[in-house]
Parts: sequence; structure tokens; C-alpha cells
Amino acid sequence: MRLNPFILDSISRIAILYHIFYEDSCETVCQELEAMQQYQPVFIFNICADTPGKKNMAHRLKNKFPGCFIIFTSNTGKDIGAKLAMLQLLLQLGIDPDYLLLLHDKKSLQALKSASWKNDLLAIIQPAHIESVWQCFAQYSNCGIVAAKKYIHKEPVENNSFTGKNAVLLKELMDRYHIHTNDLSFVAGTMFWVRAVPLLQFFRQYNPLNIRKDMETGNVIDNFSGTITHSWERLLSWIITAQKLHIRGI
Amino acid sequence: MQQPVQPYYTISASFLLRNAGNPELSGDENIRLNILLDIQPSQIHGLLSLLNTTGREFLFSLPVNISADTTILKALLPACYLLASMDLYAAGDAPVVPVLGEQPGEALQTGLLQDYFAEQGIAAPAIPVFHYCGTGVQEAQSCSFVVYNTITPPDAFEPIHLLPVIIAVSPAPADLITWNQLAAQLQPCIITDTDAILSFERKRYETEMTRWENRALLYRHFLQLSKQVQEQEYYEVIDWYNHEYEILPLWYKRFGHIIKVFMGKRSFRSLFSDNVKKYKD
Repeated sequence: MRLNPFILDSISRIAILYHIFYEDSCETVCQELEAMQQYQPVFIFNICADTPGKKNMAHRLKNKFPGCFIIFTSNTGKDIGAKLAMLQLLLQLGIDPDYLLLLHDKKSLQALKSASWKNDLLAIIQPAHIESVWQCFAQYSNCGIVAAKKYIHKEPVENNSFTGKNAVLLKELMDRYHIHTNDLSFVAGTMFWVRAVPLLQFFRQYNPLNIRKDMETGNVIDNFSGTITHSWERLLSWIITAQKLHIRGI
Repeated sequence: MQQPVQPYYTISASFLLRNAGNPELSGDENIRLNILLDIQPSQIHGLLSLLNTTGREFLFSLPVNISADTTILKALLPACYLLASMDLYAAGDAPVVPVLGEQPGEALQTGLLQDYFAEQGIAAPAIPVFHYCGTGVQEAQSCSFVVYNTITPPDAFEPIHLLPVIIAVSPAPADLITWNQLAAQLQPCIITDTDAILSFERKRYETEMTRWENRALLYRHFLQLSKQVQEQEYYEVIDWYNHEYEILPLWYKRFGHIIKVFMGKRSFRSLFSDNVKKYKD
């Protein structure tokens, strides 16, 4: 599918940040991103340093996406920590894209809905939907994030206090990083398109690697208690909504 | 038994940046680099892009004056971490960041670098200190360093026992063509005993094998975890059902079933028999 030239004009640069954790993801990733190549994005991949065969995967990715940047980082903060490391690389490279696309090879093997979760989230890069993404950004100047509608969740609040498992951490992190928003929607699964300027502006002020170092290591989940990692899953969206921009679902 | 080994040739980051765009940079991918970080933190973006373009495997080292300067070193830490994370960084599993100086005895702030790497969840790097004035093979922390003097070249090279091996050419070549020629010329002369190579390779295989073993354990952990998570989700659904439906009076629930029949969501016959299909597919 070819972009409407009018819309294409307004898109000067895209950066795709993709985190890979599983050793068998490489071919799937190549297929998923095939349609994105026509937009000539900057590809940044992060492969978990613990992933067996990571060198071969890097070789394959370099062949498929010439000029892509690949880093190997520890399993700190899961995909969120990896995305922070890639954001640091993006800042360090001095690349100023207009839009960022955050993705990872989500499997959530422990979850009941694991099979459909990733497919739903990936609707945002399916050729049939991609024009809707551009239209959202082009038509609504206050649209900061575009994600799969089904996974735009709202953090529960009662009497102005969070009630979820991450409540205490969220309050603490929002105060520490001065993120204040009334719109508590967030993209569960952290795969979305986002305007780069507001996001990078925040991370120029707060070094992503300094945030990452406090995150949990290993495959943490927040089913039983709160985690810094999952709190940042919400905060990545709230950085945007705190700047009076909204999340739109497709 | 001895055989040639691929060394890392020291080249300053400032020299590389001055030669950005020079086709000689993307020449022989087999000539590996040891980048001496003699640039300001603000110049790192150029270096990262350049290294990605060359496709050459690399190590990087710190000039002794930078490693002793807390302010500059602190500003360089994120860049050092990213360099050590790049796929072309050759010592990813056991990072090594040599410090190169003219002579021994200068103060080093190497703890800063080690702490920063540890905070980011990777092994603290080995930080061997080598000197340009040293002669022969210098060995420290599983790394070898050789200064090749172009004015008085040695008659023969000593065999290397510790890998990786880093070569510094003194005085440094003035242009990339000479630099590439010299590196290609030295390539077959740097030799090591087969045991050193085997030991180096064995470590790599063992690391990879450990990764696969850990992956198998991880999947076992996922299986256990999924039982816990799914059990929790099951009880959450049951709780929801009990609070939202089961708590209602029996007459209300029965009346509800009759309404379902009227709405076409349940068959009439199923009200009187359990052997009839209740719902449409």
C-alpha cells in the first residue's frame, strides 16, 4: 500500500525502536517490519544480551535493514528498559525524527490472552491501518500517541489516589519526574506511535539510562505486586498526556 | 603450535571523525579497530554513526587524561555504555576498556566506569592500563598490548598469550591509506599459540551454552508462573461472578432466563430439559 502523497509530505522522519527478547523472533520481526521499509525509517533494534544466537540475529537484521543500529543490553526493565536504552541511543545519535514507533516481540507466555495480545497491538503497523495512523496525527494536532484501541487502558483512581498494584510507585515517580496529568490513559503493552518532540524533550531532561538503572532485572510481572518497570509502562504514555496531548485508538 | 590472530588496531576517534566519508574507512572489514576516545562527549553522535557504517568490529579505549578527569568521564559514561552495547563491539560478554597513556603513574577514575556498567546490568569491564613507552608485549587483565614502532620496527614479533590483542602504531600514520596498508601488512605477523585461541573460543562457546541453559530454565519458570497467573485470573473471574450474579435472588435469576428466551438468546425448550441445546453458536 502506498501513502497518500499529501500525508507523506507531512512525515519527514520516522524512527522505529524494536526490542527483541526471544531467540526465535528474528524472522517474525523481519516480516512485521517489511511494510515499514517504504517509509525509510531509522531502525534501532535492541536484542537482549541474554538471548542465545544474538550475533546471528544481528547479522540477519543488518542484511534485511541495511544501516540499522543494533545494541545488546541486559534484561533490565524488560521491554521498557530496552526502549529507554534505544531512546538514549537515538538522542546520542543526534537524530531528530518526527515520529517514533515503539515495538517489541511480546509473547507474555504467562498470560491467558498471550496469543492475541501482540497481534492486536500490532494493528498499528498493518498496511490496512497505517493510513489511519497518519490521518490521526495529521488531523488532530493534539494527538500525541496512536495505539490499538483495545489496549488503551485507564489507571484506576479513587479520591485522587491510585488504587492499582503500582499505586505507591506511580505517585512517587510522577512526583520525582514532574509528570502531572489528569488523563490517566496508557497503552498496555507499550507498542505505539508517538510524536517524537514531546517524548524526546522529556528524555533530554531526564537521562533514560538513569531511569533504567532503577528498574527490576529479569522477567518481572506486576500481577502480584507493583514494579518500577510496569509503572514506567504507564508513565511513557503520561509523559505525553501531561503535555496536553491525547492518545487515539485505531 | 602458532597461528596468526586478528588484533585490534588503535585509531583515535578524532582521526576517524576527520576521515568521515572517506571510502578507505569501509575497506577491509577484517581489520578490527581499537577506538581511542579522544573526543568530546558532544562528538559521540558522529562516532556512533561512523562505526555503524564501517561494519568493522571494534573495542574502545580511554586516553589516560580522560580516565583521570571525573567531569569528562562522567559525561562520556552513557556513550561508553552504548559503544559497549553495539553489536559490532567485540568484547560484549566480557567488556574490556583499556586505558592508554604515555607513561605509568597517572590517577585513574576507573571505578566510575565499572559502577556505571554494573548499574546498567552488564559485567563491570576489565580496565587494563597500557603505556606507549612500554616495549614488547604488555599483558594485563586478559588483554595484550603491543606498540609497533614504524621508525625502528622489530625484527620479529613475540607470540601473544592473552587475547584480545591491541596494537598501537607509533608514530600514528598520517592518513587512512597508510593506516590500512600498515594494518594489512602487520596482520599475518601477529601470532599466538593455538592454546590461547582455543581457550578464547572455549570461553565464547561456554558463554553461549550457558545462555541456552538459562533460556531452558526461563521457559520452565514461565510454565510455573503461568500456572500462578492463570489460577489468579480464574479466581478473579469466579469472584466477579459471585459478586455480580450469584448474589442475586433465585427468583430474579429465573426471571432473567425467561427474558433471555423472549430475547431469542436461549431456547424455550432448554427451560424444561437439560438435554436440549441452550444457546446458539
